[in-house]
Amino acid sequence: MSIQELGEHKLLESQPATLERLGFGSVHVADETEDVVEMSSRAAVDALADAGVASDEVGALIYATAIAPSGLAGPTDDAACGGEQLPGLFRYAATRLQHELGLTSASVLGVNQQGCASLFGAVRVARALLTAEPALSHVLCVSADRLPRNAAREVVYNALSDGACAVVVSRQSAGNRILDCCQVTKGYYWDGVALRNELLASYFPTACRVIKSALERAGLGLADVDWLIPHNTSARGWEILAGALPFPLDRIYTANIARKGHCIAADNLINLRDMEADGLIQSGQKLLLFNFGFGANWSTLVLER
Amino acid sequence: MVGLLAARAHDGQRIFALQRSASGARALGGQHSSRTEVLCGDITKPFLGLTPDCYAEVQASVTRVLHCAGLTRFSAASKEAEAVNIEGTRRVLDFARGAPKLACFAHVSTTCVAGKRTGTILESELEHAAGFVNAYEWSKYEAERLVRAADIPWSVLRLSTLIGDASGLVRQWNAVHRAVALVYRGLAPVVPGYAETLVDLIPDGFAANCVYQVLEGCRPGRTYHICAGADKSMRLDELLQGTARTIESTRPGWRKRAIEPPVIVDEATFELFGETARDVGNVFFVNVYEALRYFLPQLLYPKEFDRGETIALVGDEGVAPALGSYWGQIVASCIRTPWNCQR
Repeated sequence: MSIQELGEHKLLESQPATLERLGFGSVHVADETEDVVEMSSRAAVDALADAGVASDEVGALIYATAIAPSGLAGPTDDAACGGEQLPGLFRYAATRLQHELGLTSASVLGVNQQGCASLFGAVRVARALLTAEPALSHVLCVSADRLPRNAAREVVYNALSDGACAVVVSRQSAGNRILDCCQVTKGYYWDGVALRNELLASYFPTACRVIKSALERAGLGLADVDWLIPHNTSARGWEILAGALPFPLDRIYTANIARKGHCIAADNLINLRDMEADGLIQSGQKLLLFNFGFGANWSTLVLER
Repeated sequence: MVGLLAARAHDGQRIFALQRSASGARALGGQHSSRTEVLCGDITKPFLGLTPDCYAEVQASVTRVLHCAGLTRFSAASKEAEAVNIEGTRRVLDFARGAPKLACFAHVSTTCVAGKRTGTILESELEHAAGFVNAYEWSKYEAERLVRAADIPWSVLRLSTLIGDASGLVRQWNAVHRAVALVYRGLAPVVPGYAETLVDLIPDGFAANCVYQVLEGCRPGRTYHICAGADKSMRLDELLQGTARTIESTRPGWRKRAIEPPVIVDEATFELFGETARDVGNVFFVNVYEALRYFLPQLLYPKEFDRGETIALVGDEGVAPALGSYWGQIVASCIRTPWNCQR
């Protein structure tokens, strides 16, 4: 749906023209019959194929979600817990996904309470699992969020899309090497609604500090970063953050903001995938992935291609 | 200042203190000695707002004039600043020209007359084409030009920004204190400037004493920088870090909030923040930006002020205490009385 259409359907808090000025053009709204398990399953199949990993080689499945309804399997309407019998509240999307994908060797866990940073949280846990359990070779991290039907599609000047992504984190891989993975939580802003302006004020300085700290731990500086792969919050917000860091705006991949909107936790991997398809990523390049989760988590992944 | 003058006045000396508001005049009159006569007037009005007879009487007897009346708000509109700081100064100069016993006209100016200049600013310099951050700076520059062109025994005193007492007591809250309050509340995400920009602030008592010394030892045609100077100022990054440290020690619960000090950014980024606040209709951040934009951009023009004339006249008393030695007390004052900072 275009931003204008969202406005016509009264699914925005801001005026459509405002969001367009901030860089948004359209968002993806999942079909009514499409649930989070189907969305994440498609992403997972692609990720396993890209990684050359068979289903039964996956030792753990980590399912990351930003919003509570995404954690339950079944039709979206059933996610409204008020109508559920108690056992129905234990119908986990992650467990169903394990079955659908044939991940017969995989234990399952979920990551939430991190908003849009949940996928990064999953990768962080995956890395820790691989470190702690020598027998483990591959961890499949999957994220999917689908807003309830007719839900508003704007959070703090950002237009939201439904979306899913998946990535295999392996002990050995020919793909991207994780140089650093970090997350900062600021619990004071747990109520992002009541403390909205305080949270907005905190966003830029905290992002700067988290990014610089992550790079320092990875033995890098901003000048060493070839690409900053963002979450698809507003292009305007990225202009400000680019100035604050400072980091060249033309090395921040913002092309998807207008055409795909903010796909909650899936932005960074969607952007990375599209950059690879466009031939923008070269071997040896240092990639900085940054995400912010409303609620309130700042998260980074530093990769080497 | 009036109190200091009254306390140090010689036998036979009288002080006429021109005060704008009647209530202010009454308050001032109640505080000081019988050597002080408080007059209710207005420098923007004919005869400085006095009756012609009073004007003439005072004019006939004064030997020194200390012109420290003016509009000091960084956010003042051009017309308002012009009316008070330029035209008001013109009227005070007219008064001074008609004072037959005048030995010294001390004009209180500001280091802000340097505007957007950078580098070392000499006391002997004024004219420049660098421009100004706000109407206050421009109006004080023009006022100083009037004084320097006047055929009277003038001295110019350029004060840096007053921040309170070196003990931390703040009697008059200004934009700097309000900026500290914004940092405390975690509502200032960005400030314009450079990490190494020197922030030159001075305590009230130091400024008052320097003004008195210049008034007493008047050397016509000289300009004095009454400021901290490079070695007593603080770098902007150190000031922000020091502010955060003081807040943490004064309010331990603040640490739990993990509030981040603002990021130092360039002019374009700072203005983009303001533009974005307006674009999205966030009235709150529009107000934050407006509270900061009239003076913080001065931090984009790093400069240091020569103080040779001041030190030569005043000696060691012309050396300000290091800002770093009392900035913490000022910040603590801002936090302990937040209602003042919200004005």
